[in-house]
Amino acid sequence: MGRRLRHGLIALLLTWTVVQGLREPWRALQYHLADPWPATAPVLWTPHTHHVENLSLELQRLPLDDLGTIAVVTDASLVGEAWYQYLWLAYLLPEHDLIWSPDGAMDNLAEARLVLSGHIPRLELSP
Amino acid sequence: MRPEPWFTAAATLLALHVSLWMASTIGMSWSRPTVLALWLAATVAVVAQLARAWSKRTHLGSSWISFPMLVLGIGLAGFGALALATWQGWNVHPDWAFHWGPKAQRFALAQGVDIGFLSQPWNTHIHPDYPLLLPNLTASLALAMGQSVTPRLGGAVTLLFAAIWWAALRALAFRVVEPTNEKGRWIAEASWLTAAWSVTMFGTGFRQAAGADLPFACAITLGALALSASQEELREGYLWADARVAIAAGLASQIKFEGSVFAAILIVLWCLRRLAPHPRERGARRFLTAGLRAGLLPALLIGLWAFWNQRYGLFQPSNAGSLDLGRLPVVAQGILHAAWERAWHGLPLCVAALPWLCLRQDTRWPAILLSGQLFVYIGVYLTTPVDLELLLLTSASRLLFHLVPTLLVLLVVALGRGGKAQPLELAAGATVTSSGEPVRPTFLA
Repeated sequence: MGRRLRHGLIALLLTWTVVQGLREPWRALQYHLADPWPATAPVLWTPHTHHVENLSLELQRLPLDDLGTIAVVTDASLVGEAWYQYLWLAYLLPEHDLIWSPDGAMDNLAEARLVLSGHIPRLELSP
Repeated sequence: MRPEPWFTAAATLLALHVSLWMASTIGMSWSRPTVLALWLAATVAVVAQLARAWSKRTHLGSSWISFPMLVLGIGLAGFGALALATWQGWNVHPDWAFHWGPKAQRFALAQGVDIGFLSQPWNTHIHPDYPLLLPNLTASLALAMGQSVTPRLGGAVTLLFAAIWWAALRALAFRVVEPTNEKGRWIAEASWLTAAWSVTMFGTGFRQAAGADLPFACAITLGALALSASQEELREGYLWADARVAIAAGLASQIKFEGSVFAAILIVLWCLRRLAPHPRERGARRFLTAGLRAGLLPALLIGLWAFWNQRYGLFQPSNAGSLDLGRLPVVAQGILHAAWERAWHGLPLCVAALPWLCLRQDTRWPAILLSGQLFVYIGVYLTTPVDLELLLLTSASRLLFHLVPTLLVLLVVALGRGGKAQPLELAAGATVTSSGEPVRPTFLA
C-alpha cells in the first residue's frame, strides 16, 4: 500500500470520526429538545417515552406508601408493551418489591395488585 | 519503572468496589461516613497520581499554546462532548432503567448489597449474577453525596471510566508506536484522536452512559496496554508489568459477565509474551511466575464472585447452552447488521483488518487479544439458549463498542507506519523529541 494512500486513509478515518463524533451529541440535543422526558428513556421504548411520564404521574396519585410487595398484572391489550412498563415501574418504585405476574400466578406473594391496561398506562390498585 | 495514573486510577476504583462488596458480605452497613471516607481516599489517591504525572510531563512542552497542546485539546473536547451529553442525561443507557439503576437504587436503600432483592425469583431479568462493580460504585456515591440514585449519578460513574479510557487509549497509541521522531509522534496522536472521538460518537449516539459497556471497554484497552509491555519490561520481569495485567483482568472480571473470560485470555497471552528468550531465566519459570503474579488477583476476584453466586443461588440457567454451529450464518448476518448501526457510522468494518494487525509485529499482541474477545462473543451467540435474533439486535452493536476504539488505535498506527513496523525491542521504551533529546513517556502518553 502506497504512502499517500495510507495517509489518505488515516485522514479520512480521523475526519469522519471527529465529524460524526460532533454530530451525535448535536443529534442527542435535538432529540432531547423534541421530547424533554427521555432522560432515562430506553431505545426499545423510544416511540413511547411519554408513556413513562404518564406512568410516573399515575404512580404519584396512588396510595402506595404502605405497601411492600405489589404484583403487576396486565391484560391482553398490552402484549409486548407491558413488560417494559413493568421494568419502568420497578425503576420508578425502588422502595417496593414489584412482582411480574402477568397471568396472576404469583399474586399470592403480593400485598396488592397493580393492573396495567390500555395503550396509555392506566393503573388500578386492587386489594 | 513508575505506576501510570490510568492503571492506579482503575486499581483504586476496583479496590473501592471490593471494599464495599466485602464490607457488605461481613454484615457492615455502608454508612455515610464510611462511604464518604472511602470516596475521599480514592479521590485523593487519583488526584495525587495525576498531579505527579503532570509535573513530570515533557513532550507537551512548558507552554500552554503549542501544537501538541492543541491536539490534546481536540481529543479532550471529545471527552467534553460526551461528558456534556451524559451530564444532561441525553445518552442514558436503556439498561440503566432495566437493571443497573434498580440494583443501585436498592443497594443505596439497603446500605449494602441487597441479596434478598437479587435472589427474588421475579428478579431474574436484572441479571442478579452479574458482577456488582457498577451498582456498588453508583450506590455508594449516592450515599456519600447524601442523595438518591439518579441517571446522572450513574453517568458520572461511567464518566470516571471514560476519563481513564481516554488516557489509556492515548497511552496505548504511544506505547505501540514508541515514537522515535516527529512523524511517529503524529501517527500516535492521529490514532488517539480517531479512537477518542469514536467513543464520543457511539457513546452518545447509542446511549452508553450509566451502562456497563463503557467501563468494560476501558478495561479491554487497559488489557491491550498492559500486554504491549516493552522488551525491557519483559526482560527484567518488573512486578508492576504483571500488576498492570492483574488490574486490567481484575477490573474486567468485576464489570461484566464476559469479563472473566477476557481475564483468562489476557493472562494466558501475557504468560506467552513472557516466554520470550531470556539469558538468565528459563521460559517455563517465567511463564509460571507471570501467571502467578498477574493471575492471582483476578483468580481471587472471580473465585469470590463465583462462590458468592453459588452460595446465594444467583446463577441463571439462561447464561449458556450447547454449541450450535448451524447458527453461524445468522450470527454473521447479525454482527454485520450491527456494524451498520447508524450510531457506528460504519467504523466496525475495521474489524476486517484484525488478521493484518495480528500479523504485524508492533500490533500483534493487542490485536490477538481483541480477536480472542471477538471469538468469545461469537461463541456466546453460538451457545445462547435465549432468542438469538433478539440478543443480536440488542447486544451486538454494544459488544463491538468494547473492541472498536482500541482497534482503531492499532489500525491507524499500522496505516501510518506501513510495512516498516519496527520490532518493539529496537525502540527500547524511550521517545525522542524534535530536538533529538531522548525522553521517557510523559503525561497521557
